[in-house]
Amino acid sequence: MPTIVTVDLRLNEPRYASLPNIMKAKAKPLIFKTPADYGVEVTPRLTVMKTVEPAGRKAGMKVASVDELIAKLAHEAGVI
Amino acid sequence: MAVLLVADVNEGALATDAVAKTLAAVASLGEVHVLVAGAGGEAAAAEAAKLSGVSKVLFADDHAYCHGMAESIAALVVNLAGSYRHICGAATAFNKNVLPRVAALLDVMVISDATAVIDADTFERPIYAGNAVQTVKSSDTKKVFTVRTATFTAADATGSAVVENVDGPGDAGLSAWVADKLATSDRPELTSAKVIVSGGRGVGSKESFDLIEGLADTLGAAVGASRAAVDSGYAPNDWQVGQTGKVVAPQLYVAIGISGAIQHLAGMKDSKVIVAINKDEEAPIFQVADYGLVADLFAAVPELIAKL
Ligand SMILES: Cc1cc2nc3c(=O)[nH]c(=O)nc-3n(C[C@H](O)[C@H](O)[C@H](O)COP(=O)(O)OP(=O)(O)OC[C@H]3O[C@@H](n4cnc5c(N)ncnc54)[C@H](O)[C@@H]3O)c2cc1C
Repeated sequence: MPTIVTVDLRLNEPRYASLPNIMKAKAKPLIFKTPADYGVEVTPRLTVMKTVEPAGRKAGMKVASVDELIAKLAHEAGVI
Repeated sequence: MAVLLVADVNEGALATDAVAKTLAAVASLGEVHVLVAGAGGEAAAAEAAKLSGVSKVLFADDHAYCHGMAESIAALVVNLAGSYRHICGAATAFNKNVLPRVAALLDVMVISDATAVIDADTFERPIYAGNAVQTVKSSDTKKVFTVRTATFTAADATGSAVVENVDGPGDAGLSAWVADKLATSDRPELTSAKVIVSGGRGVGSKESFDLIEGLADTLGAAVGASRAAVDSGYAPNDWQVGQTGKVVAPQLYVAIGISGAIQHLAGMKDSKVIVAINKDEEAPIFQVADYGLVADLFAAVPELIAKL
Protein backbone atom coordinates (compact mmCIF):
# COMPACT_ATOMS: atom_id res chain seq x y z
CA MET A 1 0.00 0.00 0.00
CA PRO A 2 1.24 3.60 -0.38
CA THR A 3 2.80 4.90 2.84
CA ILE A 4 3.76 8.36 4.03
CA VAL A 5 6.72 8.49 6.40
CA THR A 6 7.95 11.64 8.13
CA VAL A 7 11.52 11.60 9.37
CA ASP A 8 13.76 13.50 11.75
CA LEU A 9 15.74 16.14 9.87
CA ARG A 10 19.04 14.53 10.85
CA LEU A 11 18.09 11.08 9.54
CA ASN A 12 20.60 11.09 6.69
CA GLU A 13 22.43 13.12 4.05
CA PRO A 14 20.16 13.94 1.13
CA ARG A 15 21.11 12.33 -2.16
CA TYR A 16 21.89 15.23 -4.45
CA ALA A 17 21.25 14.82 -8.17
CA SER A 18 24.41 14.35 -10.23
CA LEU A 19 25.06 16.54 -13.24
CA PRO A 20 24.52 13.71 -15.79
CA ASN A 21 21.18 12.92 -14.14
CA ILE A 22 20.15 16.57 -14.20
CA MET A 23 20.91 16.59 -17.95
CA LYS A 24 18.95 13.37 -18.45
CA ALA A 25 16.01 14.75 -16.50
CA LYS A 26 15.70 17.59 -18.99
CA ALA A 27 14.83 15.10 -21.71
CA LYS A 28 12.03 13.40 -19.74
CA PRO A 29 8.43 14.07 -20.72
CA LEU A 30 6.44 16.36 -18.40
CA ILE A 31 2.78 15.48 -18.05
CA PHE A 32 0.49 18.17 -16.62
CA LYS A 33 -2.57 17.13 -14.62
CA THR A 34 -5.10 19.08 -12.62
CA PRO A 35 -6.53 17.99 -9.26
CA ALA A 36 -9.87 17.51 -11.06
CA ASP A 37 -8.28 14.78 -13.20
CA TYR A 38 -8.00 12.79 -9.98
CA GLY A 39 -11.42 13.78 -8.71
CA VAL A 40 -9.93 15.94 -5.96
CA GLU A 41 -11.69 19.13 -4.83
CA VAL A 42 -9.18 21.75 -3.70
CA THR A 43 -11.31 24.80 -3.00
CA PRO A 44 -9.91 26.17 0.28
CA ARG A 45 -12.23 26.03 3.23
CA LEU A 46 -10.11 28.38 5.27
CA THR A 47 -10.33 32.13 4.72
CA VAL A 48 -7.51 34.32 5.94
CA MET A 49 -9.13 37.16 7.87
CA LYS A 50 -5.96 39.01 8.77
CA THR A 51 -2.25 38.63 9.27
CA VAL A 52 -0.49 40.71 11.90
CA GLU A 53 2.94 40.99 13.41
CA PRO A 54 3.07 39.53 16.90
CA ALA A 55 3.81 41.81 19.81
CA GLY A 56 7.58 42.15 19.95
CA ARG A 57 9.69 41.54 22.99
CA LYS A 58 11.76 44.36 24.35
CA ALA A 59 15.36 43.90 25.30
CA GLY A 60 15.88 44.02 29.03
CA MET A 61 19.08 44.92 30.80
CA LYS A 62 22.63 43.70 31.00
CA VAL A 63 23.86 42.54 34.37
CA ALA A 64 27.50 42.96 35.31
CA SER A 65 28.06 39.78 37.29
CA VAL A 66 26.70 36.40 38.31
CA ASP A 67 25.85 37.88 41.72
CA GLU A 68 23.76 40.62 40.15
CA LEU A 69 22.03 38.06 37.91
CA ILE A 70 21.07 35.90 40.90
CA ALA A 71 19.85 38.97 42.82
CA LYS A 72 17.68 40.10 39.90
CA LEU A 73 16.20 36.65 39.35
CA ALA A 74 15.43 36.21 43.03
CA HIS A 75 14.17 39.68 43.94
CA GLU A 76 13.05 41.47 40.76
CA ALA A 77 11.73 38.65 38.57
CA GLY A 78 10.94 36.28 41.44
CA VAL A 79 11.61 33.19 39.35
CA ILE A 80 14.19 31.41 41.51
CA MET B 1 -22.58 20.35 19.93
CA ALA B 2 -19.74 19.49 22.25
CA VAL B 3 -15.98 19.56 21.68
CA LEU B 4 -14.04 16.29 21.47
CA LEU B 5 -10.55 16.65 22.94
CA VAL B 6 -8.21 13.80 22.08
CA ALA B 7 -5.92 13.20 25.07
CA ASP B 8 -2.30 12.17 24.76
CA VAL B 9 -1.83 8.94 26.62
CA ASN B 10 1.58 7.32 26.83
CA GLU B 11 1.98 3.92 28.48
CA GLY B 12 -1.28 4.47 30.34
CA ALA B 13 -0.22 7.88 31.65
CA LEU B 14 -2.18 11.01 30.77
CA ALA B 15 -0.20 13.99 29.45
CA THR B 16 -2.08 16.02 32.04
CA ASP B 17 -0.39 19.36 31.42
CA ALA B 18 -1.04 19.22 27.65
CA VAL B 19 -4.68 18.24 28.15
CA ALA B 20 -5.27 20.84 30.88
CA LYS B 21 -3.82 23.64 28.74
CA THR B 22 -5.85 22.57 25.69
CA LEU B 23 -8.94 22.68 27.90
CA ALA B 24 -8.15 26.29 28.74
CA ALA B 25 -7.79 27.09 25.03
CA VAL B 26 -11.19 25.65 24.06
CA ALA B 27 -13.13 26.76 27.15
CA SER B 28 -15.22 29.24 25.13
CA LEU B 29 -16.53 26.54 22.77
CA GLY B 30 -18.78 24.90 25.36
CA GLU B 31 -19.01 21.40 26.72
CA VAL B 32 -15.82 19.32 26.35
CA HIS B 33 -15.56 15.54 26.17
CA VAL B 34 -12.08 14.07 26.55
CA LEU B 35 -11.21 10.87 24.71
CA VAL B 36 -8.78 8.57 26.52
CA ALA B 37 -7.91 5.70 24.21
CA GLY B 38 -6.02 2.53 25.03
CA ALA B 39 -6.24 -0.50 27.27
CA GLY B 40 -4.84 0.17 30.74
CA GLY B 41 -5.95 3.80 30.58
CA GLU B 42 -8.31 3.66 33.59
CA ALA B 43 -6.06 5.86 35.72
CA ALA B 44 -5.58 8.31 32.85
CA ALA B 45 -9.36 8.49 32.34
CA ALA B 46 -9.88 9.11 36.07
CA GLU B 47 -7.24 11.85 36.01
CA ALA B 48 -8.85 13.51 32.97
CA ALA B 49 -12.22 13.42 34.73
CA LYS B 50 -10.79 15.61 37.51
CA LEU B 51 -9.80 18.46 35.19
CA SER B 52 -12.21 21.35 35.39
CA GLY B 53 -14.00 22.10 32.16
CA VAL B 54 -14.42 18.42 31.26
CA SER B 55 -18.03 17.31 31.19
CA LYS B 56 -17.43 13.71 30.19
CA VAL B 57 -14.50 11.36 29.63
CA LEU B 58 -14.83 8.75 26.92
CA PHE B 59 -12.65 5.74 27.64
CA ALA B 60 -11.92 3.28 24.83
CA ASP B 61 -10.48 0.22 26.51
CA ASP B 62 -8.76 -1.61 23.65
CA HIS B 63 -5.14 -2.62 23.03
CA ALA B 64 -5.43 -1.37 19.45
CA TYR B 65 -5.27 2.22 20.76
CA CYS B 66 -2.14 1.82 22.85
CA HIS B 67 1.28 3.12 21.73
CA GLY B 68 -0.29 6.07 19.89
CA MET B 69 -1.18 4.02 16.81
CA ALA B 70 -2.59 6.74 14.54
CA GLU B 71 -4.44 4.43 12.14
CA SER B 72 -6.59 2.78 14.79
CA ILE B 73 -7.03 5.87 16.99
CA ALA B 74 -8.06 8.01 14.00
CA ALA B 75 -10.67 5.40 13.03
CA LEU B 76 -12.02 5.55 16.59
CA VAL B 77 -12.19 9.37 16.51
CA VAL B 78 -13.93 9.33 13.13
CA ASN B 79 -16.43 6.84 14.56
CA LEU B 80 -17.24 9.30 17.35
CA ALA B 81 -17.09 12.41 15.15
CA GLY B 82 -20.81 12.51 14.34
CA SER B 83 -21.66 14.07 17.70
CA TYR B 84 -19.02 16.80 17.59
CA ARG B 85 -18.44 20.05 15.79
CA HIS B 86 -14.90 20.52 17.08
CA ILE B 87 -12.25 17.84 17.36
CA CYS B 88 -8.98 18.96 18.87
CA GLY B 89 -5.90 18.10 20.87
CA ALA B 90 -2.61 19.61 22.04
CA ALA B 91 -0.08 20.03 19.22
CA THR B 92 2.11 17.17 20.47
CA ALA B 93 3.79 14.43 18.47
CA PHE B 94 0.84 12.20 19.41
CA ASN B 95 -1.86 14.49 18.01
CA LYS B 96 0.23 15.62 15.05
CA ASN B 97 0.14 11.95 14.11
CA VAL B 98 -3.54 11.32 14.80
CA LEU B 99 -5.48 14.51 13.98
CA PRO B 100 -4.32 15.15 10.39
CA ARG B 101 -5.45 11.61 9.63
CA VAL B 102 -8.81 12.32 11.25
CA ALA B 103 -9.14 15.50 9.18
CA ALA B 104 -8.30 13.67 5.97
CA LEU B 105 -10.82 10.91 6.70
CA LEU B 106 -13.49 13.54 7.42
CA ASP B 107 -12.39 15.56 4.36
CA VAL B 108 -11.88 18.79 6.30
CA MET B 109 -8.88 21.13 6.52
CA VAL B 110 -6.82 20.72 9.65
CA ILE B 111 -5.94 23.90 11.53
CA SER B 112 -2.60 23.35 13.18
CA ASP B 113 -0.94 25.06 16.14
CA ALA B 114 -3.87 27.30 17.03
CA THR B 115 -2.77 29.92 19.56
CA ALA B 116 -6.27 31.31 20.17
CA VAL B 117 -9.86 30.25 19.59
CA ILE B 118 -11.73 33.44 18.62
CA ASP B 119 -15.14 31.86 18.04
CA ALA B 120 -16.55 28.55 16.81
CA ASP B 121 -15.19 29.10 13.28
CA THR B 122 -12.24 31.44 13.80
CA PHE B 123 -8.76 30.66 15.03
CA GLU B 124 -5.38 32.33 15.36
CA ARG B 125 -2.22 30.53 14.39
CA PRO B 126 1.43 31.47 13.92
CA ILE B 127 2.90 31.43 10.42
CA TYR B 128 6.40 32.05 9.07
CA ALA B 129 7.96 30.47 12.14
CA GLY B 130 6.07 32.76 14.48
CA ASN B 131 6.97 35.98 12.66
CA ALA B 132 3.32 36.62 11.89
CA VAL B 133 0.01 35.68 13.42
CA GLN B 134 -2.80 34.77 11.08
CA THR B 135 -6.51 34.74 11.85
CA VAL B 136 -8.35 32.12 9.80
CA LYS B 137 -12.02 31.30 9.49
CA SER B 138 -13.08 27.81 8.60
CA SER B 139 -16.19 26.98 6.58
CA ASP B 140 -15.89 23.24 7.22
CA THR B 141 -18.81 21.80 9.13
CA LYS B 142 -16.39 20.09 11.49
CA LYS B 143 -13.23 21.76 12.71
CA VAL B 144 -10.22 19.62 13.38
CA PHE B 145 -7.41 21.55 15.07
CA THR B 146 -4.33 21.24 17.22
CA VAL B 147 -3.53 23.73 19.98
CA ARG B 148 -0.12 25.21 20.71
CA THR B 149 -0.37 24.93 24.47
CA ALA B 150 2.71 26.88 25.59
CA THR B 151 0.97 30.13 26.47
CA PHE B 152 -2.19 28.75 28.08
CA THR B 153 -2.65 28.37 31.81
CA ALA B 154 -3.60 24.80 32.65
CA ALA B 155 -7.16 24.12 33.82
CA ASP B 156 -7.12 23.08 37.48
CA ALA B 157 -8.06 19.68 38.84
CA THR B 158 -11.24 20.53 40.72
CA GLY B 159 -13.72 18.84 38.39
CA SER B 160 -15.51 15.51 38.63
CA ALA B 161 -16.75 14.37 35.24
CA VAL B 162 -18.22 10.98 34.52
CA VAL B 163 -16.18 8.34 32.70
CA GLU B 164 -18.09 6.49 30.02
CA ASN B 165 -16.80 3.47 28.11
CA VAL B 166 -16.93 3.69 24.36
CA ASP B 167 -16.40 1.03 21.71
CA GLY B 168 -14.65 1.62 18.46
CA PRO B 169 -13.69 -0.22 15.33
CA GLY B 170 -10.60 -1.64 17.07
CA ASP B 171 -7.46 -2.53 15.16
CA ALA B 172 -7.48 -0.83 11.76
CA GLY B 173 -5.08 -3.52 10.57
CA LEU B 174 -2.86 -1.00 8.78
CA SER B 175 0.06 -0.93 11.17
CA ALA B 176 1.40 -2.87 14.12
CA TRP B 177 3.39 -1.72 17.13
CA VAL B 178 6.87 -3.19 17.29
CA ALA B 179 8.75 -1.42 20.08
CA ASP B 180 9.16 1.92 21.83
CA LYS B 181 12.65 3.08 22.72
CA LEU B 182 12.09 5.41 25.63
CA ALA B 183 14.55 7.95 26.89
CA THR B 184 13.87 8.10 30.61
CA SER B 185 14.79 11.11 32.65
CA ASP B 186 14.21 12.37 36.17
CA ARG B 187 14.10 15.92 34.88
CA PRO B 188 10.83 17.69 34.12
CA GLU B 189 9.41 17.32 30.65
CA LEU B 190 10.61 20.11 28.33
CA THR B 191 7.24 21.47 27.18
CA SER B 192 5.73 21.65 30.66
CA ALA B 193 8.82 22.63 32.68
CA LYS B 194 8.70 25.86 34.72
CA VAL B 195 12.42 26.43 34.20
CA ILE B 196 14.53 25.47 31.17
CA VAL B 197 18.30 25.72 30.80
CA SER B 198 19.42 25.50 27.17
CA GLY B 199 22.87 25.19 25.68
CA GLY B 200 24.07 26.07 22.22
CA ARG B 201 27.08 25.64 20.00
CA GLY B 202 29.07 27.82 22.39
CA VAL B 203 29.10 24.94 24.88
CA GLY B 204 31.58 23.30 22.55
CA SER B 205 31.30 19.57 23.25
CA LYS B 206 29.12 16.78 24.55
CA GLU B 207 31.30 16.63 27.68
CA SER B 208 30.89 20.32 28.47
CA PHE B 209 27.15 19.95 28.06
CA ASP B 210 27.36 18.42 31.57
CA LEU B 211 27.68 22.02 32.76
CA ILE B 212 24.28 22.88 31.25
CA GLU B 213 22.77 19.76 32.78
CA GLY B 214 24.39 20.59 36.13
CA LEU B 215 22.82 24.05 36.19
CA ALA B 216 19.49 22.55 35.12
CA ASP B 217 19.61 20.09 38.01
CA THR B 218 20.51 22.87 40.45
CA LEU B 219 17.40 24.76 39.32
CA GLY B 220 15.15 21.68 38.98
CA ALA B 221 14.92 22.56 35.30
CA ALA B 222 14.50 20.73 32.01
CA VAL B 223 17.38 20.84 29.54
CA GLY B 224 17.02 22.33 26.08
CA ALA B 225 19.41 22.88 23.18
CA SER B 226 19.80 24.86 20.00
CA ARG B 227 19.77 23.07 16.69
CA ALA B 228 23.49 23.68 16.29
CA ALA B 229 24.11 21.90 19.60
CA VAL B 230 21.96 18.96 18.52
CA ASP B 231 23.47 18.82 15.03
CA SER B 232 26.93 18.79 16.61
CA GLY B 233 25.94 15.83 18.78
CA TYR B 234 26.18 17.68 22.13
CA ALA B 235 22.54 16.97 22.97
CA PRO B 236 19.84 14.51 21.88
CA ASN B 237 17.26 15.41 19.20
CA ASP B 238 14.31 15.69 21.55
CA TRP B 239 15.98 18.54 23.47
CA GLN B 240 15.87 20.89 20.48
CA VAL B 241 13.97 24.11 21.05
CA GLY B 242 12.82 26.19 18.10
CA GLN B 243 11.04 26.23 14.80
CA THR B 244 11.89 22.61 14.05
CA GLY B 245 12.05 21.58 17.69
CA LYS B 246 9.81 22.16 20.68
CA VAL B 247 7.93 25.36 21.43
CA VAL B 248 8.21 26.28 25.09
CA ALA B 249 7.10 29.12 27.36
CA PRO B 250 8.50 28.48 30.85
CA GLN B 251 8.65 30.97 33.71
CA LEU B 252 12.41 31.14 33.23
CA TYR B 253 14.46 30.28 30.13
CA VAL B 254 18.23 30.43 30.41
CA ALA B 255 20.03 30.46 27.04
CA ILE B 256 23.73 29.69 27.33
CA GLY B 257 26.11 29.95 24.37
CA ILE B 258 23.16 30.46 22.04
CA SER B 259 23.33 33.30 19.53
CA GLY B 260 19.56 33.81 19.25
CA ALA B 261 18.82 32.93 15.62
CA ILE B 262 15.24 33.65 14.59
CA GLN B 263 14.53 29.91 14.31
CA HIS B 264 15.59 29.41 17.92
CA LEU B 265 13.58 32.42 19.13
CA ALA B 266 10.50 30.91 17.44
CA GLY B 267 10.58 28.23 20.11
CA MET B 268 11.15 30.27 23.27
CA LYS B 269 10.30 33.95 22.83
CA ASP B 270 7.05 33.60 24.79
CA SER B 271 8.95 32.59 27.93
CA LYS B 272 8.14 34.81 30.90
CA VAL B 273 11.72 35.67 31.82
CA ILE B 274 14.66 35.10 29.46
CA VAL B 275 18.26 35.07 30.65
CA ALA B 276 21.13 34.99 28.17
CA ILE B 277 24.75 34.19 28.90
CA ASN B 278 26.97 34.83 25.92
CA LYS B 279 30.49 36.13 25.49
CA ASP B 280 29.53 38.20 22.44
CA GLU B 281 27.76 41.36 23.58
CA GLU B 282 26.36 41.82 20.06
CA ALA B 283 24.62 38.41 20.05
CA PRO B 284 20.97 38.85 18.96
CA ILE B 285 19.78 36.81 21.96
CA PHE B 286 20.37 39.95 24.08
CA GLN B 287 17.61 41.73 22.11
CA VAL B 288 15.00 39.43 23.64
CA ALA B 289 16.64 38.70 27.00
CA ASP B 290 15.32 40.32 30.17
CA TYR B 291 18.71 39.78 31.81
CA GLY B 292 21.85 39.46 29.77
CA LEU B 293 25.24 38.50 31.12
CA VAL B 294 28.19 39.04 28.80
CA ALA B 295 30.59 36.40 30.03
CA ASP B 296 32.45 33.24 29.19
CA LEU B 297 30.04 30.45 30.01
CA PHE B 298 32.86 28.24 31.31
CA ALA B 299 33.40 30.74 34.12
CA ALA B 300 29.83 31.99 34.62
CA VAL B 301 27.97 28.65 34.73
CA PRO B 302 30.14 27.01 37.42
CA GLU B 303 29.91 30.22 39.45
CA LEU B 304 26.12 30.20 39.11
CA ILE B 305 25.92 26.56 40.19
CA ALA B 306 28.12 27.28 43.20
CA LYS B 307 26.12 30.33 44.30
CA LEU B 308 22.55 29.08 43.76
C1 LIG C 1 14.66 25.79 8.45
C2 LIG C 1 15.48 26.00 9.67
C3 LIG C 1 15.00 25.56 10.90
C4 LIG C 1 15.77 25.73 12.05
N1 LIG C 1 15.23 25.33 13.25
C5 LIG C 1 15.93 25.58 14.38
C6 LIG C 1 15.39 25.20 15.66
O1 LIG C 1 14.33 24.61 15.78
N2 LIG C 1 16.12 25.51 16.76
C7 LIG C 1 17.34 26.15 16.70
O2 LIG C 1 17.93 26.40 17.75
N3 LIG C 1 17.86 26.48 15.51
C8 LIG C 1 17.19 26.21 14.35
N4 LIG C 1 17.76 26.53 13.16
C9 LIG C 1 19.19 26.94 13.14
C10 LIG C 1 19.44 28.41 13.46
O3 LIG C 1 19.36 29.15 12.26
C11 LIG C 1 20.85 28.59 14.03
O4 LIG C 1 21.80 28.07 13.15
C12 LIG C 1 21.06 27.91 15.38
O5 LIG C 1 19.98 28.21 16.26
C13 LIG C 1 22.36 28.38 15.99
O6 LIG C 1 22.59 27.69 17.21
P1 LIG C 1 23.53 28.35 18.31
O7 LIG C 1 22.97 29.63 18.73
O8 LIG C 1 23.74 27.30 19.34
O9 LIG C 1 24.90 28.50 17.54
P2 LIG C 1 25.67 29.79 17.06
O10 LIG C 1 24.83 30.66 16.25
O11 LIG C 1 26.95 29.31 16.51
O12 LIG C 1 25.93 30.59 18.43
C14 LIG C 1 26.82 30.17 19.40
C15 LIG C 1 26.90 31.30 20.42
O13 LIG C 1 27.70 30.89 21.51
C16 LIG C 1 28.47 31.98 21.94
N5 LIG C 1 29.64 31.44 22.62
C17 LIG C 1 30.66 30.73 22.09
N6 LIG C 1 31.54 30.38 23.04
C18 LIG C 1 31.08 30.89 24.21
C19 LIG C 1 31.55 30.88 25.56
N7 LIG C 1 32.69 30.26 25.90
N8 LIG C 1 30.82 31.53 26.49
C20 LIG C 1 29.67 32.17 26.16
N9 LIG C 1 29.17 32.21 24.91
C21 LIG C 1 29.86 31.57 23.95
C22 LIG C 1 28.80 32.75 20.68
O14 LIG C 1 29.08 34.10 20.98
C23 LIG C 1 27.53 32.59 19.86
O15 LIG C 1 26.64 33.66 20.07
C24 LIG C 1 17.03 26.35 11.99
C25 LIG C 1 17.51 26.78 10.76
C26 LIG C 1 16.77 26.61 9.61
C27 LIG C 1 17.31 27.10 8.30
